[in-house]
Amino acid sequence: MPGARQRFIEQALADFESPLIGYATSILNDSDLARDVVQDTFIRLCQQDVAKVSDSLKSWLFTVCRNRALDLLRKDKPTRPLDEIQWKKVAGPGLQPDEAAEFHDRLSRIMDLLDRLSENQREVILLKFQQGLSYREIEEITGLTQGNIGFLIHSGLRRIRGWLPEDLKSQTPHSQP
Amino acid sequence: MTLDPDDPLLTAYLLGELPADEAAHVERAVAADPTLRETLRELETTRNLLNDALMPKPAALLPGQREAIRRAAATRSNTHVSWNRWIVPLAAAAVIALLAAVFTRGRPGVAHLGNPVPTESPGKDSRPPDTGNLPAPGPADPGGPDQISPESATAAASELPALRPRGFLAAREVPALALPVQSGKSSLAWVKESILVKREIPDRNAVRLEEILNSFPLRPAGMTVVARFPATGWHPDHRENGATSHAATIATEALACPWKPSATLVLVSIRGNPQSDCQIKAFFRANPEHVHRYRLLGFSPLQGRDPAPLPTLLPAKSSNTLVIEVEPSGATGELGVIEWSVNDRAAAAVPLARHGDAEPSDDARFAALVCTYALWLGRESNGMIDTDVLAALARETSSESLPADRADFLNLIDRSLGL
Repeated sequence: MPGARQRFIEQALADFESPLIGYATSILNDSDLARDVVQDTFIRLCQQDVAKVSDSLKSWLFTVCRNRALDLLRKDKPTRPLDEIQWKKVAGPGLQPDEAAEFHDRLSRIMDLLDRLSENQREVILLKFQQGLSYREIEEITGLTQGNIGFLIHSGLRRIRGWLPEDLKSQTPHSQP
Repeated sequence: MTLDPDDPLLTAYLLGELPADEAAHVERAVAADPTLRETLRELETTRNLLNDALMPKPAALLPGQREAIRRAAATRSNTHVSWNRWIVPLAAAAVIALLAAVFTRGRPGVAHLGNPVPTESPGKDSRPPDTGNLPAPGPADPGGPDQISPESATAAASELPALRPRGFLAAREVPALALPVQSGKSSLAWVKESILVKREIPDRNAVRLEEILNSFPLRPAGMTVVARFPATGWHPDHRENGATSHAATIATEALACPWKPSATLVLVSIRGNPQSDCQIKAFFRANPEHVHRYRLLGFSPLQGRDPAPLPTLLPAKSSNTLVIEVEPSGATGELGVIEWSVNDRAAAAVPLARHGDAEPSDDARFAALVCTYALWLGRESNGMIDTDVLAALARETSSESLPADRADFLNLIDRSLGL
């Protein structure tokens, strides 16, 4: 029968495996490498004292995952500035071909807009909208203040809004916060 | 509350980041202003577009990867030993008695290893001015663990007063921090004693980052400023006599923080002259425009005591290196300056900045490794430094041309990781 520690790791896997792969992929633009980074992140979690990380598990996992991914990026592409990182996102399974094409088209256009933002503005927007993290969690991961994060997201949304083509701008909102 | 369309509170409200009272304020402001209503609607449309496009789709690890994680969890749960067993709880009365012992035993060059003689707790007025910053009461002779008897070290280790790690300071609230110009060197001998002889992770109160760091000669390779004595008729021809106009030097270097890539480690080395002691007052003044928060690594005061004034006397032929962890608020920019004076005479300030493309010096890399090890050993990293990070950093630092003392330190890390 699994112990409390193993149950803790299983629950962490269930809760964060997919978001972390998405996050690492957005940094590395390579889903295989992203999986390696996430595996490494969870193995490091296994080596921690559960009591120390359980209260801030989400921030801990994203921070370790981010550091690992950025380390990998620096080692593999030492001459490539971080500004040029392509924050791409792979479409997941489960979409019909026509849905996937539409999704890719919209995603590609949104990503082009995100690429026009500054590096830290792009990062906090991805952490907020792709990973659903709170300002406080983003603060723990990036080291930016919550005030700075709020400003970056607000001004980023307004800039994106200003760049939106008419067909996207006129779409009826249907998502919930 | 008055809001305008540029106010980030609007987006914070939309994203559910505001407490109820602030959210109610925003709602009232929006209800009363058609421009804000339109801005909020546009923000909502953009938010929904991003949510739809960026919402993560299910992704999973490969079966083999999940299995490897489960194996790691199972292995760890069978072998895990809590760090807590190393932490010796100190009763308040014992702490008081020990503090009294530290006051007399812990001063540089006067450390003793025998059992402390209980004395009355000294009154506040009787404390030496630098009590909170005394070096750990380690072996009297910093020559190495070979000169320490395990029995005496064990007795002394259990008596160490608890340290209170320094926290981060917000640059806007506390823009200036006085910097110490002295530290002891005994902690490294304590650590070696524990790791190499007793084969135990040392008591966390025996781990003093600044003392381990200053056990090695370090010369940062960045911005350096030399302070000179006022004109005394010195001439370069006097060099052969050993005379100098050089009063003190501050050398700095900045590099990426190994355990938090978004942060920067700033090394500051304060070096005296070969002939005379100096009174040095030095401050790190953070630039709040570019720095979110910062902390001085090590130099932990004793628990239950207010940090006392830092010693300002830098003895002749001595130096002190310290490290400040800086969390910038932006990608680039000046982090701040070191303001300092020598014998109450102001010296030129030292600007601090991190240049992303600059390759750190070997000394800076080694200093970063020492800090990483000391924080890991002192359980001060909040889970951010683990054995993988430490081992990887040690591997990066190792080379065939490493000086003997640094090679020994890498061996010490290796032995620590094996415990």
